[in-house]
Amino acid sequence: MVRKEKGFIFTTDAFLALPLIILAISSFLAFSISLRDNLTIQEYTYRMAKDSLNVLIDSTPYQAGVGDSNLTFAYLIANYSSNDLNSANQTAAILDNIIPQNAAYILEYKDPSNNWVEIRRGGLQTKFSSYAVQVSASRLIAELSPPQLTPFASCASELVCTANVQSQYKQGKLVGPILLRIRIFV
Amino acid sequence: MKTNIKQKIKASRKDSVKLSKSKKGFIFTILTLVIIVFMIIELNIYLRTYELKLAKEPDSLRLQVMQDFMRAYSPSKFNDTAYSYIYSALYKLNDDSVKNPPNSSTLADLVWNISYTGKRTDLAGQPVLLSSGLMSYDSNLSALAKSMGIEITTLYYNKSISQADYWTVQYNFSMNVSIYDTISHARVNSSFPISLNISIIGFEDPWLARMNFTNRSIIPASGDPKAKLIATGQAGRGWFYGQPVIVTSCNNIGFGTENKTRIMVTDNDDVALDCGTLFGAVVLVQNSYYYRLNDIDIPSFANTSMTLQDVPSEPILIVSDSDSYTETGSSNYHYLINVTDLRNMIECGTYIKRPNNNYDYLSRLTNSIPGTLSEYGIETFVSGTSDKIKQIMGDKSFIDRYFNASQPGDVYKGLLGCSQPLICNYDINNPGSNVPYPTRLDPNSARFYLGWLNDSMRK
Repeated sequence: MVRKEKGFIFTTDAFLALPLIILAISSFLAFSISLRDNLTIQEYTYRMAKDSLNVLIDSTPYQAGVGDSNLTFAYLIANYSSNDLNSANQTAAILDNIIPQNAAYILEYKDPSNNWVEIRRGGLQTKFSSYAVQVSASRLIAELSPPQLTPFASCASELVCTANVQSQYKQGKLVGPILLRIRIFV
Repeated sequence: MKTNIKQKIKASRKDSVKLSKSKKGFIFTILTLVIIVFMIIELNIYLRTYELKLAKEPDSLRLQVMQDFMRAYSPSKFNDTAYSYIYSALYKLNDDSVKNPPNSSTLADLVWNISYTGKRTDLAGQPVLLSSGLMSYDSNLSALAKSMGIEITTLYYNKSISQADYWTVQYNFSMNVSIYDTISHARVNSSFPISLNISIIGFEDPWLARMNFTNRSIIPASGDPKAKLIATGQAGRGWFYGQPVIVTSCNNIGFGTENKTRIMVTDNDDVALDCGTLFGAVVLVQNSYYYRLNDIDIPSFANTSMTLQDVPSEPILIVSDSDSYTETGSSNYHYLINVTDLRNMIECGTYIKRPNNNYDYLSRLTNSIPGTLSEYGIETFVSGTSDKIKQIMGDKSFIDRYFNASQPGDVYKGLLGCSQPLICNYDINNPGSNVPYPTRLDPNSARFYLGWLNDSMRK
């Protein structure tokens, strides 16, 4: 009878102590992991801003269905003040799917007069006036359009081809440097 | 008595059990307290660390920003940027060098100056060739960094330029970039060499343009056969290039000069004799009386086995190494050749490799001529201007008969005519010189590319 009671008491203690020990170990591990990986809201927003710019710069108007496949976003910005305003704006719409719904953004570039010119703004509009964090990321773009070589088809036998540098070869066009900036409001 | 003892023992056992329970409760309580204390300490450590992390966050973000600036100058990113500017500088210099050839000894520095400042610094007034240079890239990044309290310093050195192969120029330089955070006093330094291969394909040959002959993109000729042998004849005389016209009767043949640019193709020797001279040349096929062509003094070609349908509809070249039907010998040849592709190449193209026998691109750019014949020498086929080619040369062919033995310089029968000997000659002032002009169509050049006419004509 005594042996049975001891066994009962020991089992009850273990039953109570073991969960506490497991809880202690798991909470220690959880804290340790969270200490290493948890990003602050500023870091998270900054990384989001950088990633958004990277995605945008690699996008083409063609992907957005608003332009030529040979163009890049940088060319739209280069011509922003002239005739590609809508194309740049529409291509930048890709940001709407990247920026979280509880955030807002403003995409802009620096013009030759050193002023920031807005290209597009989107996201939760109320965040512009009331935000906890505002973070910006910038990229300087300098690009060269690929040179284009047009091989001649055969010349008519009696005619002389108008072979010259201008008609046969289009040199690469230098674009930039253009400073692009995105501001994200969370 | 026994009963008492038993009762004492029983009571003792009960006390023992009670004591055991009491001990276990104590240990359990202690254990619980230890765990709770441990968790409280752990929680405090976590909270303290979190506070420290929050306090350090600006530094962490600054480091990330510094890394981003450093990434803008990383080899993978900066190579593309530098290529854009140096390619543009070389292209603009190439165009500008027609009038003002750069100095070969300072070429690397000049290309750098143009790519960095946009200006051609070797000329008075320093004309602007590029609207913006690499300096603008540097200054933009530097200004952006400065607004964040970060200083960027770049240094470019060890610049050189050389010919990498026939169609590629290699530009080399080294760079050092230093990024310094004025707040945390962190500094990052990096140095690395950069090598850029810039294709000159499509560039205008400045030497050619400088000679005021024509402007021509540098485009390597393909290896496809350009001259194709259609047939070898039994007899022939002279050479002629023109549009073949099948003629079976002398009726309704025009007497204007337009037929002098064409080749009569017939299977009737009487028609050839009676009205062949109205044409620039005669091709007689499927007729064994071809020796009668000896009586007409125009270029001719005879093949007894060909039919009228075997003669192509596009312009053809007839060529013989003898002007007489009476001459015979193992070296005599009489060819019917399709040179359409060759003519296209000459007019529309193109450069061929001439290792150790002509000048490379950089020599042409810097006008280092006469100079060393380069292992990466290139050469173009060029004939006269379009106006000259289209002229009718008296009673000769529409295009090619401007060639004749009285003109100084080498000629290659049947190809596009030169408007002047200079184009075809080695050196008009010194014909015996081995210094070649870039624009020539002499037998050696033609043989080099096409092979010997007699034995290696591409079929």
